[in-house]
Amino acid sequence: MLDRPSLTNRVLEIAGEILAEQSRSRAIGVDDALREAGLTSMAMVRLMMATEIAFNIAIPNEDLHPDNFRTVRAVASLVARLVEAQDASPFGG
Amino acid sequence: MPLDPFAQRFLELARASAQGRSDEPSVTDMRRTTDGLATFAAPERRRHVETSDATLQGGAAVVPIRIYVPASAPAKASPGLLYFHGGGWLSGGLDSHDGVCRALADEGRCRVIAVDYRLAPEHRFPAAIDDCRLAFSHLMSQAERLSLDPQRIGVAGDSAGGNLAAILCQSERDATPAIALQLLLCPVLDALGRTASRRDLAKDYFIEERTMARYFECYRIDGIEPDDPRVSPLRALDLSRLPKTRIHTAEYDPLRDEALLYGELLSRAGVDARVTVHSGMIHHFYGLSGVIPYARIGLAAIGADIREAFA
Repeated sequence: MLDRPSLTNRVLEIAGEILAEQSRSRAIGVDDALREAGLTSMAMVRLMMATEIAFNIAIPNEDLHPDNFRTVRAVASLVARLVEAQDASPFGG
Repeated sequence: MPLDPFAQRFLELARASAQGRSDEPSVTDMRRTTDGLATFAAPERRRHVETSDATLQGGAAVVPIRIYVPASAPAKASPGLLYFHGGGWLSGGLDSHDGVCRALADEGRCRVIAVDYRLAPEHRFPAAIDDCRLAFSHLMSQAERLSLDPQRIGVAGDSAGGNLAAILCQSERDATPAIALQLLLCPVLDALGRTASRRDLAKDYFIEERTMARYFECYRIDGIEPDDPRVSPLRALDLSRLPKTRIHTAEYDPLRDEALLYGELLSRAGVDARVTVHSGMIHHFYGLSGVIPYARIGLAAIGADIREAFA
């Protein structure tokens, strides 16, 4: 499993790529509000999907909450929690 | 049939991402959303379809177009499909629907000519339809130069582009040669529809009723009411002598019932019309094969209709 700083950096990269696709600056800080940085609703969907693929997780519906996608740090926390739960599960990992 | 699981997942994510916003998206946001959707959800770029960009001029109007030539289309006298993209009359363009147009050219084995018509609210009704008409008359008069068979030219569009295509087919029903095919994908046929599907699927099914109302508000001008056939082709009194019509809609598209109704009215008026309802699918499914695998099957079915019409 990735350590937390590497995990956060990977989320930062993904968010940066999506911003660049939208012709926005990819420079974003871990605590910057993603929506204010220019992520549209569809870009948020893209971020959710890309996060699932990158970390091989499925975000459960109860976690599909805007608070979990407000910043890169929030996304990284969600991913860390889901990866940990998956690793602890006899069916996961 | 229940909602396709991939479509359902896409809707859940879309709903979650919209939850955090309190304000209505601006026109700029809506345009970025349409363009952004294509970056990850559009059909894969089919590389054996060649493209070239050009502009058409008619009076003061300059209309950009993109021509798609699949390897399978004949070099001369090819069937051709004039295509108007969706996006609520205010968003979308050549790039947002590039994947869809490539797929249609490839599956339909025809040239596709996509039209970058002017968008509202900067250019309200009837700017878009004027540009589409200019493209149509250019295509008909220049068919040979464009390697097209004038006997096999169709008019197509999706969503709001389907609205423009249906209106063009009504106004050009006496064109010679006649339009060979009208292909409508999840079309807007009633600007502010009052069908059961519009009511039952008004929210959380990708295209929402309040968004539809906003689209129309940006597009309309004074004196144009929602029931005017110039914006709601379903409301036209005379539907006779229209081209062979193939409509593809989706079970969970709020615009489903107006598609079924239009198909029924056209059939009663003696037109060869057929509506395919794609089970479990949502509005714009044909443009979402990046996230909904069934979309490829849907595109193949649409392609089969094109090939059959141009056979």
